[in-house]
Amino acid sequence: MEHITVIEDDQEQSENLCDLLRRRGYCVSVFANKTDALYFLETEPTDLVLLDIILQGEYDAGFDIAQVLLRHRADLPIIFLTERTQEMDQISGLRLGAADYMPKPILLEVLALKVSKLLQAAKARKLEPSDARDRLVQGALEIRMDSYEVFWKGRLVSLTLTETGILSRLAKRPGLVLTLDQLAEQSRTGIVEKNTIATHIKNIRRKLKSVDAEFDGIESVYGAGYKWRA
Amino acid sequence: MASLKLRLFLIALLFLFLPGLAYLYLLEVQRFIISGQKQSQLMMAEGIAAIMHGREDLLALHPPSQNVALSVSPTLTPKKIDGQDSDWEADIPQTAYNGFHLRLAENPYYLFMWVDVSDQKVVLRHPNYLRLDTSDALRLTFLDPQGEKKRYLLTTTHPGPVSVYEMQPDWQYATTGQHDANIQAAMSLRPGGYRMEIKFPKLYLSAATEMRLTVQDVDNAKQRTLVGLQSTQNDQDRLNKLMARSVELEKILSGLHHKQAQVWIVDGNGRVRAEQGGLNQTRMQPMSWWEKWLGLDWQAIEDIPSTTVTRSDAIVQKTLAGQSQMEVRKSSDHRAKILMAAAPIQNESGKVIGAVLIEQSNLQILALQKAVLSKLLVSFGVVILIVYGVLLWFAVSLVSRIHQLKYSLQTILDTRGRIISQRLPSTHKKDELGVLSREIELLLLKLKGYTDYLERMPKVLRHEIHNPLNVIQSALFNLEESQPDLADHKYVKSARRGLNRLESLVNDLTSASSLADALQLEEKESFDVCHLLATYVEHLNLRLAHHRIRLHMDVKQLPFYGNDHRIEQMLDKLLDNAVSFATPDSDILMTLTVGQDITLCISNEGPTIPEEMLPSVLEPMVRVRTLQKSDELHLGIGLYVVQQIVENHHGQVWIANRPDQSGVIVQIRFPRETPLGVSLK
Repeated sequence: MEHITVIEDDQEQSENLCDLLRRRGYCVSVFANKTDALYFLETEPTDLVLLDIILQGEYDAGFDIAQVLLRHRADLPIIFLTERTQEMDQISGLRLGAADYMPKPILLEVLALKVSKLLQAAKARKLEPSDARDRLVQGALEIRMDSYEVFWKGRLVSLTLTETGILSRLAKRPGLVLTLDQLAEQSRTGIVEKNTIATHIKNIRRKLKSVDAEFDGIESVYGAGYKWRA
Repeated sequence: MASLKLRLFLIALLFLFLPGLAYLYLLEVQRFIISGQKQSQLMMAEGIAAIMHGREDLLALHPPSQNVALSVSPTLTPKKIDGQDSDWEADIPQTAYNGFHLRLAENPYYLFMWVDVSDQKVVLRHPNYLRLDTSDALRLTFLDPQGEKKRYLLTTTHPGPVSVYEMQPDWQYATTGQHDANIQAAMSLRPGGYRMEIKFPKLYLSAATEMRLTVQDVDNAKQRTLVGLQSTQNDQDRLNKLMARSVELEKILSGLHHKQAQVWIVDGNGRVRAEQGGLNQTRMQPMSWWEKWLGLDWQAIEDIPSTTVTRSDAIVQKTLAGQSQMEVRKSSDHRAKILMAAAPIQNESGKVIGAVLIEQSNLQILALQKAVLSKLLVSFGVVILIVYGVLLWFAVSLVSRIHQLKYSLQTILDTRGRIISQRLPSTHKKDELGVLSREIELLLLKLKGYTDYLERMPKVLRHEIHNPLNVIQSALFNLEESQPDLADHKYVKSARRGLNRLESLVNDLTSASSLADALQLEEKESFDVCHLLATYVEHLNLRLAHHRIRLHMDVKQLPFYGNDHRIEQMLDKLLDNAVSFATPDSDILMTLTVGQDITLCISNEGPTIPEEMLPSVLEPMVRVRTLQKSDELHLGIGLYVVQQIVENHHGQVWIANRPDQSGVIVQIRFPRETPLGVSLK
């Protein structure tokens, strides 16, 4: 049974999360503050962490915990429970390859899906590269769908799960304009916020440009959405 | 309204009254001093008159006579006895007699005579002749101090020094034949006559000072017979009274030590019998450099000369009538005033026999007044300059501090009215301005705290609301999943719908504040805004059912430095509003013009915005127009977001109703220059 650690200072929310996760068959540990969480995680293994960023008034507690955890285990999947795009930028900027984020209020259905995908991706990364059915190749872009790893010109690009999902959706239909609704469905944000999608696209572009300064694969179609250049 | 500096300057002008008041005071003091001086002079005159009381011997008048008394003028200049009158004062009068003219002058020791004789044939003494009435000569007859009549003949053999012999009563032979060297004389020839200048010691004269001058005339050098005698006194038995100033009187006056005034003693006929002192006294103290600089040099005045023989002033006449008088007149050169005080001199029986006249100029008082005035002016001038300087400095510093405060207050708020800084200048000062600065600073601090709280509220609100929202959301989900039969329950659905609306509201509420933070952090880059607008409008028109966006652009390409995604977001908000409020099936106009600025206009036909709401329409939470679609929510955030995006791109937004009130126009202006120096092709 896979183990999930929930770090959330709001008791009612953490209870609801735990109920969901347990119904899905996961073993769950819950902590309300940074100290207790780190103390536990120093010695006890976990497969995934659900992490609220603000804990008991400490605004960046979540990031602090993530950095400590990832120092010990770089491939630990973490899902951040965020409130604003700036935090998304921050998370994205942390180059936490296994990290992703969920904007509040959280759609538990989407959360369950993300948890499942992240756990699968974590397992897949430990195995040999999968066959072509699980790969998406578009020119210099290669996305391994099982492990959610992204390569550009053979170089690994650290995208979050959401970013990988959006990129794969674009790359699957090169030249086709995907609307924001379509992309939002991929990000499962629930409330369609254009600037949220725009933030994801911006982060994707930035990360790909970090490995290739000439990257220009994503085109903004103003008034419509985005498309992958064929 | 006049500035503080001007008002302070005008008020400080009141200081100029001080020198004026001081001057008035000085004038009063001057009047007082002059009045006192007059009284003092009068007392002095009366005192001298008292001393002279009963001295008829000194002031006796001579009865009128055919023979004019010999008037003797005082002389101050030394005389060279050379037979010339070039060193005689011009104002010494000349008396005409039959055949000669006579001028008489005296100093305290000598009597000087100048005799101009008209004689066509001048016969000088023969050196071999013992008889002395055989040539042209002058005879002096006088009473000596013992009262004896003395006779002296002045004769010469040639022009030049004259011999003086005491003569026998018949005037033929000298008594001793010895020249009297105490009497000096000199003779000079002139056409038609000769001149003789005589220096006669007063010691030879009696106190009565009587003398007669006679011209002895001989015209024939061979026969040497006397042809005539012309005299100052026709009666040979009588002598002339010398009307000289009395030496004794002048001795009395000199003993009174009147150094500050001029004292005149006149007899009953106004003839000057004695004079002492003068109007031009020396300064009592040396002049300082600034007095010289101010032109306070002691200048001598010109007035009635001390050699004046008679004083016929009105004051003298009135005094001789028996009453003491005081008058003020101007000096002859009009440079000063002469204060006059006169007192009558009476004899034993009370008859007025003369008068004492004391004159003093006000020059010293004037000089003193000038000196005091100049000192006052200098002192006041310096004080006023210092006071003005200090006041001006104070006013300038005060106004400067007020300006600093004003400038600080102007820069405290940004364009949206947010407090940037609450620090003000001069808050450490303890005066009223410092107190005011501190109070304003405190007010701003409280205000900033409140506005910060209000600004944080959306974030706090979002954070605080998201948690309960999350609880409800997750609880609903768990309920639906654990009890699927309840998923379709109407209350569950109603709760779900309410939750969705609540989430949307919270997002709208918090989006503005998070946008501000996000805009600050986002990077900008250059992109073609014409391409953005064209593409945007093309795709939007595909989606719109009842409206059409008509785009017109001045140019086909326009590099723009900004965030394309935010510009798109701005268009979303503007066109969302335009579409929402536009009249059905009407077109929405969008124009891009490039001039000094880049101007984007979006105009729709439809309801207008009330004029009184226009100024606040860009503020958050302001709803001004009636919706045509009742199920859409407009919290009034959209235009606020537009303003934030535009301001982040250094632009400005204006919203107005169409001139014909048929709709609304939104105009956005961006600067044409960009930090990258991108210019329009």
